Amino acid sequence: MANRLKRPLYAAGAIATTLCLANVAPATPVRAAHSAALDAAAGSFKPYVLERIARSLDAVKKMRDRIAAQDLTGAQQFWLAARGGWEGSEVITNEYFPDLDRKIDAWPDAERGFHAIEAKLFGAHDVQALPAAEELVANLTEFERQLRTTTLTPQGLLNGTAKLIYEIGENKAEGGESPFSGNSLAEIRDNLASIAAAYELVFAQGTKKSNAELAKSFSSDLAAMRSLAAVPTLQALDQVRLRDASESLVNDLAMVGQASGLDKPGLGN
Amino acid sequence: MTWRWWGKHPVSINPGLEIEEKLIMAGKRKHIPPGIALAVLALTAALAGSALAEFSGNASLLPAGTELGEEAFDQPREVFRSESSGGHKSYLVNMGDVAFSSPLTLGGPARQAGISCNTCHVNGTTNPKLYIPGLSTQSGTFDTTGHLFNPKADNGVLDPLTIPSLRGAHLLAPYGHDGRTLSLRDFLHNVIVNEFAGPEPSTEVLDAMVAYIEDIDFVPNRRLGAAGKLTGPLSDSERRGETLFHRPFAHDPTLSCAACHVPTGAFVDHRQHDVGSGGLFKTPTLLNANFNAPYFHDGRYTSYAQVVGHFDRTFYLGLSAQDRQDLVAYLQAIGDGEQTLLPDNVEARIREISDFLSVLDTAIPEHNVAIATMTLDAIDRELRDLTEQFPERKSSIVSAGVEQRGQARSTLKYLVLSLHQINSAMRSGNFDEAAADLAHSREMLSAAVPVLEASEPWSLFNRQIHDAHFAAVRKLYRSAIDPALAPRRRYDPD
Repeated sequence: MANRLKRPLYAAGAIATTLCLANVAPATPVRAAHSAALDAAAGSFKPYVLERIARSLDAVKKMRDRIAAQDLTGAQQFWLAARGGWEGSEVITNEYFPDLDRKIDAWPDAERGFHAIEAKLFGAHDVQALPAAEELVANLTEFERQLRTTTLTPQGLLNGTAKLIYEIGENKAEGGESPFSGNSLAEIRDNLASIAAAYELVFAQGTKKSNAELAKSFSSDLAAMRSLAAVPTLQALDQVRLRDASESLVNDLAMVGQASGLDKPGLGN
Repeated sequence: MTWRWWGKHPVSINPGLEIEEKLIMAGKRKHIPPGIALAVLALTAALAGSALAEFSGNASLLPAGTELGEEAFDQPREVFRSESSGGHKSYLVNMGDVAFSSPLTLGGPARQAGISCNTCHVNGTTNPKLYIPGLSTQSGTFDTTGHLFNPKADNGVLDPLTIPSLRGAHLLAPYGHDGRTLSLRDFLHNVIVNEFAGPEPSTEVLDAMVAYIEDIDFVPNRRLGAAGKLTGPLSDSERRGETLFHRPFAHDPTLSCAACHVPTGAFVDHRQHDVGSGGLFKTPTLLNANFNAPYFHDGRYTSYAQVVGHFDRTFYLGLSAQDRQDLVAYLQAIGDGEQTLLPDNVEARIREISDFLSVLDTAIPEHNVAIATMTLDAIDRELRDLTEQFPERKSSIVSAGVEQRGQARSTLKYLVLSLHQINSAMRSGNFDEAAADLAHSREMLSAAVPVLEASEPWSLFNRQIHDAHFAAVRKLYRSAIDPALAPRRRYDPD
């Protein structure tokens, strides 16, 4: 079939196609088909994400201090810095720490999490957000603590990366995740950087060996997404093409997982 | 921050207050991207914020305070003539529905913001909630010759019109409030190309849109009998009202309400008249009019009582208070309809998606890439919007049903990806493979139904969750209002 490269396992006519949709549960249990090398590669992503969480936590603490000092501009600056670190770790946030993710990145929630503080700082120009900032510090601290003792698996990273890629083609492109600050485009770029890192650190080497064409396709589709996101404003973002590119990339990643002996990525939640 | 998108129509300098009064919600109804609300709010912040200006690299797609009416729990009922007569919607009608629902039919900012014909004409009706600052003077009105959607059509006047319902449009020529266009086809062409800066539509797209609109019927009204006469048990007031409706005007016996609103002819006469509202405007139908407020071309009246009062004053009818009440009772009776709203739910969404998929049954074998691409895009949007009806795990509103919601979301996302396979196959010229992928997608859709229905209790299709979700969105957005910009506003508790 001419288009075989673009046909992941859930496509019509593809090998092992299943219609058992209800089986697509989050954090799909890992089959034993993948290699120990892939497990080790998954572990190598942890320092990357730890660094970003540490960066986010550091910025959140500074934001809290600026809020306590009634310094709106300073608090805004550190909120933006904190988002960079957080969005750079979203490959794992929802997949591994859903309960903390619910507290840290809650939506819609006017009391708790990044967006409650964002609404205050950027919308209302109000620094009366100390309780939410304190809670965010506590939750991110706990997040960092739990992350240090968590084993990242290839399947978990495949799931988290696939969900994030899909999400970029979804509501982020249609208006943005951080509307009050106008930071959505930057967050898309941070997401894409973390997707690139997850792929390069965990999946690229094996894929290049087993299916060079697929590896090339993934890199090309990812580059296309990054290029589309490299626009100055949200109005300039070609949402239809970004969505199309994201769907191509999720399909690529599903095949990457397939080639690596993993289950198809869970896209729920 | 300088922002000149709106040209002659300046954006409110008090976006916080405006947002409070015209709150936008995350997307709910079909074809309206959930993100629009967020994008609009981004601008609210941008406009308000001197400190923000140095950080913000983004701007919004629609003006602060835009309301697209996405919060509605129910949706207008669609009645199709083809189905009422025992048949089914044709390929053309379904294709027209796709084009009507697709932002790709329009151009410029509308397309970018995900706005389609259906955004204003929800399910082929009206949208009484729609309000776009700079283009609306009140909810349910819209200036089609404003600067936003096509600067070339900007006439320099803020002259918004009500959004007409398209129910029964096949009986209601000429088209446009002023009846300027005899042909629905020509009218549509003007809307697409001139008012919304869309690309020149193909002949088949225009034909299909006409077929779709002409298939939309009035919602049945069992109180209307033959020749437009009220039937069944009538109240005394309705009976008197019907008589008054036919009674010649005192100052000119050639005139009466019924002379223009011809009961035997869908309550229209296909002509324009000056009824003292500022020019010549065509006679609007009174069928299903209970659901078409506000009234008059510019939406100046919100009730039948006001409308009757206008005619009484303008045409010196000398109506008593009782007469007015009777006419209102009559108008309410003939303007009624059965089950004009239906619950939005999985079943309704799947039906629409299936109708859209049916277009591909013809378009793919015909190698009609343009139609297939538009259709796939429309279905993709539908599926993504449906996905958002099942709150993700991090939702602060619903904590139960995590597994079911996750399965629903995953199922729908895989459906989206299966559509992408169709598109990929088509783009590589492999239409047989695209047809096989279509069959596969249809199987996936069938398999998805029980998964989605199992998750419905924890979705936005559940009234309690729906209301809690939007209340939380409102609360969040209210918390983003700068009190310095809305100093006298007292916020209502949720």
